[in-house]
Amino acid sequence: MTTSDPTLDVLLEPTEDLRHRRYGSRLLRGLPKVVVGVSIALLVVIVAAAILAPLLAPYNPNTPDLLNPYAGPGAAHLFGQDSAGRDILSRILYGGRLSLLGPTIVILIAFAVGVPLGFAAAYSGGWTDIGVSRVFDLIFAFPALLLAIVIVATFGTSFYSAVFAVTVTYIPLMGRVVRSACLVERQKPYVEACRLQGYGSWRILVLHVAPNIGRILVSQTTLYFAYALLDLAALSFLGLGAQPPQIDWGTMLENANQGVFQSATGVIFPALAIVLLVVPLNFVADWTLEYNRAREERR
Amino acid sequence: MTVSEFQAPRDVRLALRRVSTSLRVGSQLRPVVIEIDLEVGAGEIVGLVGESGSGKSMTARTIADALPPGAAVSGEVLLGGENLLAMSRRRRREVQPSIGMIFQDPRAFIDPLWRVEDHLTEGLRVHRGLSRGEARVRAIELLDTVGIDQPERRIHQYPGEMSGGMLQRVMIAGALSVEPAVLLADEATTALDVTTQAGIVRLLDRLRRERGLAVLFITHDLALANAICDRVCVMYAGRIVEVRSGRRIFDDPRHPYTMGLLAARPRVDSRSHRLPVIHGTPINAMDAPPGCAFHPRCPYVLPECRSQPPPLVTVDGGVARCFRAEEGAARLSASSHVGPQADVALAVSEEGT
Amino acid sequence: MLRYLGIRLSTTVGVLFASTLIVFLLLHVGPGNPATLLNGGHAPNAATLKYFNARYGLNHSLPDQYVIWLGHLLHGDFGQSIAAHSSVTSVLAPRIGVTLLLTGYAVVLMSIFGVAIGVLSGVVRNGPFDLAATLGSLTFTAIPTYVTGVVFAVVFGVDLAWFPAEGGGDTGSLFTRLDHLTLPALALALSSLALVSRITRSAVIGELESDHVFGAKVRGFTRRRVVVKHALRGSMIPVVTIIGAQVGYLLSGAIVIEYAFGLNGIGTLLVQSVQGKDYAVVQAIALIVTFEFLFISLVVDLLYCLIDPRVRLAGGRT
Repeated sequence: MTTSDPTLDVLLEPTEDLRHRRYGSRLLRGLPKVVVGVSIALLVVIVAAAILAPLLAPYNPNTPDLLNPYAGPGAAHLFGQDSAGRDILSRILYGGRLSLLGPTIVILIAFAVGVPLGFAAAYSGGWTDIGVSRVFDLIFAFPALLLAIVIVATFGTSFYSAVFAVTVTYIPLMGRVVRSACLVERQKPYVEACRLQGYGSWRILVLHVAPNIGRILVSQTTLYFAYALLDLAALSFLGLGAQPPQIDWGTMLENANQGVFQSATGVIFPALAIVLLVVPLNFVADWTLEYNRAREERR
Repeated sequence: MTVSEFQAPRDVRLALRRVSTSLRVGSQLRPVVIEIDLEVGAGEIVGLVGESGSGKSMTARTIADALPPGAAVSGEVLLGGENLLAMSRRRRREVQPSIGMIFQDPRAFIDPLWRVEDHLTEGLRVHRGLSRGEARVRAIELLDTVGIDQPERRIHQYPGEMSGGMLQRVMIAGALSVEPAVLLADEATTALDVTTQAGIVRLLDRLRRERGLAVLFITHDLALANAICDRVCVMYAGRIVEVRSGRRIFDDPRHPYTMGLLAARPRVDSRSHRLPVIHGTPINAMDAPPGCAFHPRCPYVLPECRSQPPPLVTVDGGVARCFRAEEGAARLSASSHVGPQADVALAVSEEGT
Repeated sequence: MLRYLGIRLSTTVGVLFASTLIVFLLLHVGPGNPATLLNGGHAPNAATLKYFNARYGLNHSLPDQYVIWLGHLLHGDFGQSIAAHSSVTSVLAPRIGVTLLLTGYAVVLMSIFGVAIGVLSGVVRNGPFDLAATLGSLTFTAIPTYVTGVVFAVVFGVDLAWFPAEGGGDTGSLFTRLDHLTLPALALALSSLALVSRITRSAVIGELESDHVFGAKVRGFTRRRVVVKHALRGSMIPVVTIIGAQVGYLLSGAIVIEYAFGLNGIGTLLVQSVQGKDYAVVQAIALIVTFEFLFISLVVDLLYCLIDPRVRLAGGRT
């Protein structure tokens, strides 16, 4: 959801501001292992719960119970009921499916399109690079969410329209990461050495550059998955994404927000679902970044 | 017998007496400097030579109170007779301007966002209470002193607009601005090319003669130290192993480590295409073995070297910390099958920093 | 310096035109024809079609259409809102103040508190304050504005009733309006604030450990002087970058926050217009927000000039 990437700058200039030289010990030098472990466990549980929703959900998520709108949590409805009396727990479980499917599609397409574009721009240079970079710059000229909204306005409000719109904003993000990482990697002395030894540029790319960039991509993709999830949830929250009877956490949050004066607890669960997915994703991304950097330093 | 008994210059500006420094690494203290004795007189340049990790920079930082947090220091650091280590914090801050320090990389040590003028006048205004105008006049004089042309123009420039050699002169001017009694030059010429290096060395030499500045010249280049210093101290594993005045350290080294350093230099007159090396790798004070710290790498090792610390032996024009200090290089290599000259390898174990 | 300004200004203008081109082209790549899209998804009747043809030059070639459309834009004419049956300008005018006030308020909160917290935790590194600030920022950076907004409204607005949870924010004195906007602005700023404090902290630490700050310490200046004069200025360079980038994020985040709190700004209007297929309004708001975004980027680049002489010397960001 951010239009910039502080992590990217950090990645590309590790010596400039984040790597602490001299004798300073570093706070949270690598998150505590417990935090990372708990994060991964949480992610596994949430993904499994979404996949197994039909088995786990106690109710049909779309069956209204108009006699009990905004009922609080209780034995029959663990998380309570929403404005139409639907079971919130079941809706959270089912909502997880679309909430996870959306960013998965976004990242898969953005990866498939952005990574080759980034490689091509960095490796062929010249007009290809200028062309690709200009198109990327043009997309970056808009605040990302705004561009997504305008695209949705053009193609109509639906889940897939929202996914498409968000994908458009993530392709250049992905491409830029790969391009910059490639350029940085190419300037490193070992690549120069390989070239002097007469290795072909494809051999260098596949054997040396790709694995190094792969490490950056792992943490960056994790982070972008979290961002894409937030962007899609934002569109749903604005009523521009998934449409009823489809359920995702963004629409649930919007629905609960409409009735916030009737039931304050209604907003807690979809909000918690989003946060409990995104915060651990951030921690995991941070950890992979730190892990790779530590590896790099050890060499 | 201590090192300082040999060192007896006229007007002693800086004296170190049995100074030991340890750095905190995690929960333990690691010694980096061990019982160093050192004196620098007014108008004198004293060289401190050693490989990376030998403790030479930490010695300078001990003097300048610039050690990382958690470091422990013992002994006495005397500046004009006053012990820096026993002062109140307030007094210590007051005398800090008397210690000038210059570094290897001026581009890193001068704030890139500051004009040369701001860099030079800061000390004058803060420590000497000069007005902006007075300080500027003084700064222009200083730039002239260190040999920068057009100081009136240069003073308005940013570090990014100057060459490395010129910046080194700016750094020296900055250090001189508050008229320190002692100048610590920590590898101040290492990063410069040879001609620029010669210029800076000449400048330091002029400053100590004209201003009576006491200079501690830290370098890993024994030949350079020998060329400009009145006296050279060689450090190994946190200790000073040899102190010699004049050119004696070059012509007649007495410690096997010094001999190794000299032998490992490429020489124009040598027929051999391969350079001798000192066997093994340099160690820091922390990993020093019992006995003489150099014994695992020493080709002339005796049984007692492994068990007892060697005594400080008075030799011609200095001292050396070695059981065999009186023998000299010629006799040593004659007595040994594997003298340093016999070793062959392509490079020396010396590094730039 | 002037040359740099010139280059920077001309690229901004270039990107601005390119962004209008994208907004224009989107109208043509959408499903159905442009007239239908402009008419809220319905085929327009003869009179409306005649108006569209005249206003947008739809019967001309694509480049001509762009020139006609752009000509109207440059005269401040964004077309007609089909929902409000009046000009887009008259629909936008009363609402833009709320959005600017909200975003500006959030920018101020983010900059002041973000930098202050970051500097403090960088200076007292590894203390309890630093630990709390670091964990807090790691967490809050990841929480999206709409979640913060909704939760804030519930906790502070409804349960504690410290601030009004709802309300247009477009009426009353400036103080009443700010009072209404405090909660939304805080919700909007929070995750950016966390990020800004994180970047500030590492920038300050980086500077404090830099060689030139070490040199200043050796020269015997007080810690206060070393921190304030030597470390802070240099550390502001990445901070300005991140603040500039986050303003862009706040601009789009404001859309969501306005909607969440029911404020009468252009963000809420944008969402309503997308839902109501009022395409001319969508175009106008997209262009306005993008313009703000580019303008802020320009201001940030000029700030660089002030802070970093290297930028001035090199004639561009290095």
